[in-house]
Amino acid sequence: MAASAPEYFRVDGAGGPGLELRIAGAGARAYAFVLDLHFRFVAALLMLPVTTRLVDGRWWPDFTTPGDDAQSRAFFMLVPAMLVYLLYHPVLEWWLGGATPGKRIAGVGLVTREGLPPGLLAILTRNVFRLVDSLPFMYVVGLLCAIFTREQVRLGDLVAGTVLVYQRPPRRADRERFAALLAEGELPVAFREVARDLLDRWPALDPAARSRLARDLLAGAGRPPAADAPDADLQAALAAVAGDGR
Amino acid sequence: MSSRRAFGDWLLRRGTYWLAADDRLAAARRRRRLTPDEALDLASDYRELAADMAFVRTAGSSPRARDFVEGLAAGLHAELHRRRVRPLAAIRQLLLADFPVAMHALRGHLAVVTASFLLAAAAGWLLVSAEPAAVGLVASEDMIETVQRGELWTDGLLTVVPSSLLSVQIFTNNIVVALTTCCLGIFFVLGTGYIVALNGFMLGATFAYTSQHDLGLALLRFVTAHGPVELSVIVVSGAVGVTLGEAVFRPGDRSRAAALAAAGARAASVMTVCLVFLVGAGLIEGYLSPDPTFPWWARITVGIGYWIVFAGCVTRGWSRAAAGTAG
Repeated sequence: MAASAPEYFRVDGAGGPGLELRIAGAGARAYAFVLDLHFRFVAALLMLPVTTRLVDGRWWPDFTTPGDDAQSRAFFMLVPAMLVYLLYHPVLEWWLGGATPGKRIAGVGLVTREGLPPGLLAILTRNVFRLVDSLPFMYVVGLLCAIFTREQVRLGDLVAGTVLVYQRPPRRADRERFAALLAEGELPVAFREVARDLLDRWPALDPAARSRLARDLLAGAGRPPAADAPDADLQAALAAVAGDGR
Repeated sequence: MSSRRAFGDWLLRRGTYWLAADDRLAAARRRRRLTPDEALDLASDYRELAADMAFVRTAGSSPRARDFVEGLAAGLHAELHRRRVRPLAAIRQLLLADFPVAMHALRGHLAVVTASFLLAAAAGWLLVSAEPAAVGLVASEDMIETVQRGELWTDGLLTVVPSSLLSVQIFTNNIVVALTTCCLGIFFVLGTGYIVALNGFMLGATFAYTSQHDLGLALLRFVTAHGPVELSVIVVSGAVGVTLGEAVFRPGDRSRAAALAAAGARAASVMTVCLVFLVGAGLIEGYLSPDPTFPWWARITVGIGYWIVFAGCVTRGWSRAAAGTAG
């Protein structure tokens, strides 16, 4: 059941502690799928004027035009767009090493049980099983499977031996921030990072809890705030800790 | 406080190394080949990261540092294990080793599914022979009326649809049916069994009805060139579906996930080759089968010859597989 599902997918490493990859749940999976659904629909739609122009000389298909070759024309106008729509997932997952644009935006990606990008056969297998996962409509079978399996996978992932994990490669901004943290001086790096995290989450936290956390952190950094300091002052002090090591 | 400061100081020392390792990984990703020294540097980085990861997980209080190190380690792991893409070697491996070995493992299931298919065909034949109206269970009104007029529904196909279009429609439909037959096996074999039985029943019923209207031989003539391989692929798809269902209700010593993954890997090898044969059968059915000028002897030659090629791929290396060595 989902309540006891592991949060991390462990991959043994040779001579080391191995990788711990955080499993992406049904929510992240659905979010990525909806994004990709839009992208593939738009891509197919963009293909239609191209093929219509090549086949019929128009920018949009007109199926009411009679002719002996009407069926053939319709076929060559529609099939490339259908192929783009149907092959979006397998082609991109193979080319991008287990990711698609929707998955990248959602911060997730596919890995095998060895923690590696899946091969072509595994990708084809999990995509063919969409025939079953999409039953009876809107991926009900696939979503139920993802909710109730230990590693939150759909049927296609079970058969292909893949797992959907959070995969957020270090972005340029993260790297630059990390490099800046290391370049700064006096305060331990941990304090600055916790201060930044607290500031990022400030709006979402309970007011009493965030005030207590801010006061504890500032006291630990040797900058205790006044007892009656308002939220704005606490935030300013945290920003100073986060951005200034002196 | 002192342990936090010690951790912070450790981060300062190791962070510079991590950023350099990230640079080396980014450079390796951009290139197809590495020098031996570059490969050794990556391996060394991976070992160093493994030790750092253990420390960051247990002693550290910095989520960003942990995320950075874990992401870097995962990237190094993937890069070190990146397989060289060799398409021709992969195709050769699939055709000469993986496919025959997988088919050898399926031979028992093949026998069962073939028997089920033939039984269903016999049932369809007997039912429609006894009660011709029963053909309405599997045939459309148009098809029934056409046969009652003394014609096959396949007559004059090429005057309505060009061969290229007809071939694509046929093999697309057949591919979807084969894949659906295979995939539905995961539901305890029920879906697969239904599709195999239905196809067998349809075949027997259709032949019985056309025979009653002296069109049985004409229908046989139509299907001779493409039918043997098409029907064989349906049977193979059914056998693969049975193994998927078996992995669910009888995984043996392994977990269901492991059994399904093993069955899935085998299914992928088998279905990839079978789908290629379905494309060929679709081309035959679109170009040759509906052509009234294509003679009997040529249809038999194509049908049996194509089936022999398929059977040859299926059984290649069975004797060696049976002796315990592959391909």
